Amino acid sequence: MKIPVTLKVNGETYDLIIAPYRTLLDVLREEIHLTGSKKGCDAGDCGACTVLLDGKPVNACLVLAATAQDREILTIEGLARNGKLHPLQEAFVREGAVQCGFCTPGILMSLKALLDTNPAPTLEEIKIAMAGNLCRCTGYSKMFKAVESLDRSP
Amino acid sequence: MSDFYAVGKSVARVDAVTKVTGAAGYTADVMLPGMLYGKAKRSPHPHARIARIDTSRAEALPGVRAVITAADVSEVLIGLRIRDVPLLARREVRFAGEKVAAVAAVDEETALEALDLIEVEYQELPALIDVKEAMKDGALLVHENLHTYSGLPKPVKKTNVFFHETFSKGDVALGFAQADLVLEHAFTTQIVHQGYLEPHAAVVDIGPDGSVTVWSSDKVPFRVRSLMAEIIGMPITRVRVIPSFVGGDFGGKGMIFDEPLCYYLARKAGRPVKMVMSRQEEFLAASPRHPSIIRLKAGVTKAGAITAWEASALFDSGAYAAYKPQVGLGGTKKLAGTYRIPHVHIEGRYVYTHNLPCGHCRAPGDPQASFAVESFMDMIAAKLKIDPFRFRWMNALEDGDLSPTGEPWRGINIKETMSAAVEKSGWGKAKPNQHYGIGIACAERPTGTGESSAVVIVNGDGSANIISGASDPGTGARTILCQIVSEALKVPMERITINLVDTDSAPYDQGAGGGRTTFVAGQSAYRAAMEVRKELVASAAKLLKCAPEEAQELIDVRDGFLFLKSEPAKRVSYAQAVKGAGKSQIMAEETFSCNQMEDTCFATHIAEVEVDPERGYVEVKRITAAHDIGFAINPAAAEGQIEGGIVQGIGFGLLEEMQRVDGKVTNPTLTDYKLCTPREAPEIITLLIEGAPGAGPFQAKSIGELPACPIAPAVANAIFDAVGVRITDLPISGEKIVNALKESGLSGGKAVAAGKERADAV
Repeated sequence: MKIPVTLKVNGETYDLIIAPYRTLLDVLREEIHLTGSKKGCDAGDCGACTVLLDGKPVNACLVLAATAQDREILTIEGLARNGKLHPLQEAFVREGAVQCGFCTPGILMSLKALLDTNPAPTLEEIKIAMAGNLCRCTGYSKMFKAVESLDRSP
Repeated sequence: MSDFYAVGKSVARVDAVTKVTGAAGYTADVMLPGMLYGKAKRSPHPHARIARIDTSRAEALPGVRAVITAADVSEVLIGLRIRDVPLLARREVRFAGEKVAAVAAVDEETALEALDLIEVEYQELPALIDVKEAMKDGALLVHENLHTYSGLPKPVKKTNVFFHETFSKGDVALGFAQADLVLEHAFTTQIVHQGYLEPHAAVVDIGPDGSVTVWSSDKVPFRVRSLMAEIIGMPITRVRVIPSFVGGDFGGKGMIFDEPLCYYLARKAGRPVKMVMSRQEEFLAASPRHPSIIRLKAGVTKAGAITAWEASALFDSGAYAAYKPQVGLGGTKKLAGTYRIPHVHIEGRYVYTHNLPCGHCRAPGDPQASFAVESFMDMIAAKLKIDPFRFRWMNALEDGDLSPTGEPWRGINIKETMSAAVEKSGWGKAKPNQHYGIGIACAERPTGTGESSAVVIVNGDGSANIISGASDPGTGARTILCQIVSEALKVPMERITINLVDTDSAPYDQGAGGGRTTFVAGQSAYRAAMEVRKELVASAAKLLKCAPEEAQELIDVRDGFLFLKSEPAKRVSYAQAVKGAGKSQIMAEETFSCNQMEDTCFATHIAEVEVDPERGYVEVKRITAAHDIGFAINPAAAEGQIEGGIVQGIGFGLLEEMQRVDGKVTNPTLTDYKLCTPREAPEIITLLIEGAPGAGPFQAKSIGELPACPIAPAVANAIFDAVGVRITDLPISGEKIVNALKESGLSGGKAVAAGKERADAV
């Protein structure tokens, strides 16, 4: 049995008919074809699927798509606006914080949520905000540096 | 160094914008019309006979389009070198997690449901899960027909030890006779996963003419192509592999996994098929790092000279050897470290068991060897009451020395890395608190060899393309190639493009691995660019009225223009030069191949830790890592390799272990298998030591593998310095530290040199 669900993703509305057990991650990737959110574990451990739900970071693999009805969903594809990269994206590019890139979308979304509420985080706060995200390539160093390189004036 | 045009600079990666916007396509992102989802049925038993497989209920499930078993696939055994693994288990399963059947269905849920409907009747058999049991005479044989397998260096029969290698120099008996003191110890390392974030994925589409298109997360598209062609029984030209971005590798993405099953499912269903391994499948049946048992024996004089060194390693290969591109692991040769030792004997044995098969994991064999050797160096130093740094320094190789196994090494600068790391770390300084410890470790790893080709094109508008099959599983290789070509042609980076190209469109490349890409692919791109440059100069000579025989000498290039060195204001653009040659583009292709080399690289890591003796918790505060890199073409990318390797190495040293009970992995999730999170990431000081001549373009050496090697022993040595217990069994868990403290009576107390020196530890 499938049910109708309306999702608002990156400012656009999608009317979908989906099975009620499908995760937000699967629906984003397979129904809406927004494949920037990655499936690294499908169990909430790696954070590669992190998206913002009403501004808060969540593992899209742990959210049933039907429960995201009428909420504001922001994915990595919505982070750059009008062809202009978000300062975080620019900092990641500039500081060499991207290697294989598989964890990058999720980490950027976790950090976007942090900066939205705390524009001048300490290193410890950056680490806590990223604690649900795994990266195997970078050792995280250049990611910390990228965030610290941002203009921290509130 | 500062007068370089494009190299030696931390330019942004060519694919970074694609990656930060989520636009980068990985194999699991490939969606084709009508595509089906495949899933594999896996054995729950480490060793069993397959008595019967009934797929009828699965086939009857609505939405299922194809079910396959061994009866549907080629009987060929595959492997990167030793060919011993079947596409699907036939008659017998040899590890828990081995594939016995596969299904393709309209969606993943249906495919998973169908798996449960496949009935497999197993007759369980005794399983060999202990490597020492497997080595005994008369042990059950994991592979009865071992002698018929291809890829073995020499035929062996009726044994589970499929490879035994030795390295010798001098006469160890004589060396031990010259020693004042002989020490011996055993070390054990655990099985760890490479931990790439992107699970293996494959998509296969079969054209109406039978030609096969493969998308794969494999880092070596050309090997996927040749293996697939061989399995299917087609010429290579009928298989095209389209590379995607690769989400991390660390050695684990070099072998094909589900690609052949996708093919057989697609052929049966008449539709394209995608298979993506779950994280659980990754832990049950990928190709993790070999666990090892290493025994070291050293003879030393009271003054601290090493007179003899004996080493032996046992590697549990698991059920198959197919995942190793070499027969053995390079690390075996490293079992005498980076020291001057006149008499050395090393043995390595590789053993089949009914555990999950192991493969290549970042510097294959080296982290295991490095942990043993560099822990042992500290233990010897403690026994001799010599400072661990000084003991290493006294014995460290210098340029001109042969390697411990008697081979020529070029550009040995281990001491430079030692000095640099000591200077920038807390070595020799007062301890900030009583739980603090500091440890040092050194390592060596050669630059990788192989074959690459590259095409460089300067277009009619003066922009340039690089066409290369080199893969970049996150290392920055494609950016490095652009920097090399930018430097050779003096064309700005933003006017150079390198795209991911399929195996029909790119010339052959052996693929990333072993720290070869900057060297081998880099040389091919550099040489091709220099050929193009020559032709541009020859064309410009006419326009600049320069004698052709003097043109290469007198004409220089800058920013996409050519000019006489004597008259730099009068310039000819590359566009004009291309036109002047009567062409639409100027193109050159170069192949570079190198199979043997004396070039190697060195590193010293210093770890500073704090250990909570009550809980055994180790906080790695700071790592100082000095790497002999020759020349850093992109310093930020090089640092990124080092920083990533260090954090991966800390995981190997402290956290990670695929736990197994009766041959079955019991923690196959990232909840229970701990990778370092951002909170475990220490402060890292990376020191790029340039100047030793490397074989790569601009004298670059390699950097991909070495950072993962000396870190675990550096941390182990720091823990010993902090609390006085020596843990020689990885990972160094809190539990092991607390137990060792209790046993030694040091619990909660202060460190004394009380390393356990039990030769019978294993």
